[in-house]
Amino acid sequence: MNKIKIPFIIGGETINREENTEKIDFHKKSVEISTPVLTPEDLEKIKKTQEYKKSLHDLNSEEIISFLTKAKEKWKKGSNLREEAGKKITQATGYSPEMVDFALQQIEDILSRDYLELLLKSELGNKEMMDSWVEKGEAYVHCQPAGTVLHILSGNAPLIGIISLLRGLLTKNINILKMSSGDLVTLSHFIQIFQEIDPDHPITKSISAVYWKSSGLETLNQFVEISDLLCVWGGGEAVETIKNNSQGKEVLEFGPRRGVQLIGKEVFQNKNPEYLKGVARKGAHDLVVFDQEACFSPQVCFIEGNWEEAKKYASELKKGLEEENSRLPKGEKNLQSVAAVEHLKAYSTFLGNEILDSPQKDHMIVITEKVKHTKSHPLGRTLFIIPVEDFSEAIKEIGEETQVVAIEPFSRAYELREELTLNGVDRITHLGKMPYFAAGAPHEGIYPLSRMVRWVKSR
Amino acid sequence: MAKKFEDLLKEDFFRFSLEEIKDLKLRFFREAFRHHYNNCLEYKKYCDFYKTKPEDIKTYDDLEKIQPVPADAFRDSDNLILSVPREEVVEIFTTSSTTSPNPVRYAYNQEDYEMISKINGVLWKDGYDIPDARSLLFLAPSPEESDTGLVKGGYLGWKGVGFKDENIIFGVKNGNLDVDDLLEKIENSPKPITIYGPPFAYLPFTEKWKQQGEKPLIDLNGKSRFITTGGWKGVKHDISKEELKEQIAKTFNVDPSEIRDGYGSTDIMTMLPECGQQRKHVPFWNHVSVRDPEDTSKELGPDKEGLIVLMASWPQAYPAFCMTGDMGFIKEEDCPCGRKGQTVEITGRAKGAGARGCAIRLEQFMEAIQSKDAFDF
Repeated sequence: MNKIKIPFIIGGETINREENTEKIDFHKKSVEISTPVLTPEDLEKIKKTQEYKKSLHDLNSEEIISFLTKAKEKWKKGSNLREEAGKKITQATGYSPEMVDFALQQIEDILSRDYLELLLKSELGNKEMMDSWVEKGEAYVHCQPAGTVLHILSGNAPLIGIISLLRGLLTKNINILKMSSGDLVTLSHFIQIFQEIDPDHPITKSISAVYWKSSGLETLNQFVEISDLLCVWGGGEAVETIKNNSQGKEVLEFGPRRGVQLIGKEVFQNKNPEYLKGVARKGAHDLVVFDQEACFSPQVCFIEGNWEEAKKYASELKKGLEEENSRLPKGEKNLQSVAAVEHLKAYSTFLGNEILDSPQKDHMIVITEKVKHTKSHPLGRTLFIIPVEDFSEAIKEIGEETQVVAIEPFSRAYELREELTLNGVDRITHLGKMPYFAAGAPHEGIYPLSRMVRWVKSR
Repeated sequence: MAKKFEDLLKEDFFRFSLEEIKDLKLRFFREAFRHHYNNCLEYKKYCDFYKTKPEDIKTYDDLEKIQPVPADAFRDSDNLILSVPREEVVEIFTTSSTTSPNPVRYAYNQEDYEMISKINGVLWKDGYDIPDARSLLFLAPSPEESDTGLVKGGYLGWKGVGFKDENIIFGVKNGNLDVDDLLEKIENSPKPITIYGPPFAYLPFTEKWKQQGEKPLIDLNGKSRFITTGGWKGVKHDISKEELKEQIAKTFNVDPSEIRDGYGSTDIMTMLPECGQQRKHVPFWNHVSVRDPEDTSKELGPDKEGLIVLMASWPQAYPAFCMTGDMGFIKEEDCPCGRKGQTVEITGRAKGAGARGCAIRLEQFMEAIQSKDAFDF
């Protein structure tokens, strides 16, 4: 039995306990994950981190960015901490080592000075906005931190906790992170870097990362009470619970949503077989990242063509998925997830849809003419392909449940993006780019940093 | 000569030996499979795809070759899935899912419709140990107000147990459940009283019990039997089975053993009753096949968790071999309660398969009506 003990991090202190711990439900019988049980004393210590509000506020953005770039150095590929985290994340999330490495590299990438400065500049309009009074219109405008931000994290992608934390730090907030049972390792390891950089730094002292069971509403309410703003990531149930218990505090919601791919008729008109192959490879890449668990992951692909063209694309996509699987192998899934894919296979077969899958259960492609056959989605690298005569048919089926639409060829985006985004879509992108968020672009219809501050003025 | 199905219902069917039960299952399910294969075009095509034919069913173990239909296909098929001519259909029962606003639909001909009452009558009378069918509080709307299997099928089943209409109280009217009125009716009803409903329908009682300082609202000790069914994962109220059971026991001052759950399923129009040992028993006309999550054509043996396939041999109008999306396992050993045959335990849902069940649909129904009332104020 491989035992992974996840510590709490409270105000720069790593808390490991031998007793008063709880086991986390996990599908792998060979791994036992446990965390400390949250105690009233822990809560008191977390409350005390609010004493760092002033010193955090008094840091300038350059100092914060500089601190974070030091974290990047310590998180570089090959560093002990990253290697150790990688091994544990693989065990504790079920993602393949290659997928975990991909995620850890994403974390390293976003810790760059360029990215962090761009984030401040684009989301707040000026990278000085947190530090000084900036002339804007008839007034001088400035951003004050919201205060204490409670982040309720989901475990579907390792990057989520880090992104949420960076936003909280750049806006000089006190950050309390409720880790997800799906990924307790990434964040708890990452934050320990801060202690290595400077254990007494206001950034280190102002962060807490803890865990309690989602059913613990009493605990949630205690945390909401001491928070000024809530950021919630995750499924519909998690978001609803937080909204129903927000005590009037503002809630920034991230999820649950899905991705859609649109493959235009031009792809089939092109006589070069390499083009179709390349398109399918890009489509496959979007599908495999984080094993389709992410909010950007495509679940449905509309093909502007007939049934035969849909089959042709599906066949190339299958090859693309096999290639991608050798680069980013599918992780280990729990019994319920595996069963859901098989359930869909039987359902689709009964309804006469065409199925392409692999003996290794690495992926499944279902070609159907009926959108109603796509409503229950098992994830696990499963894609519904729906042939349509014209994209106008597809657009009717895409609404606010869709975060991102990838279009091939991208030239078609110019005619489609207005209607798609009017219907509720957040992002229009190139095929193969669904997992990548452009720095400085809005997220879920908002600029999150701009909502994690109070905008103040002087004239 | 082999005994007729209806004659077997009159016998002590839960005490047949395991071998007898297996023989009966083989006989009735082989017949059922042949009927649906020959009369339901969609089902035949589906079986042909998997290269399964009625001739393949030779032994009890061959029952795994009966191809299960995912329940959602009964919702999303363009046509009603039928093994009898459309004009013979006399009733359609529905159940809900959280992934679609449209309900799953199951059709019944006259013979099936009558059978609902017969089979559930004997099943619940024995399975829930109800010797005396005096009065019934039905914690749901009347069949005129709801077309869910829990209500319509439940009503037929309880009638089959022997409850007379004049002794059946419908607890939900126009979307409202009036606790005080019902407590008065319970007080005045002949005892013992059987109380039946989805888990959330008991919550108004337990809430009142909490408000009144956790003192019993009424004393039904030794005078009642409580039955819950319809799924525990509600739209709004998440409460564990154990917690609710404890609260019901205290609210009505009864022993927790008086509170029994049932694995209700419109897919096979029955509720598998929980005995005093908290095991849900499967009669010979039903079969629970636990399928390998990695390959649903393979059946797992007892004690192994997989996808639950619920099968009923008696419906003629549709192939009642339903893959529900539930996960669980079976046991095939004699129960200390004395009953024999399969018992089933549900562990959860396949991820992605939305929670289904009549309780959810009923709760939505009650909420819709309650919110209408709210607007009237």
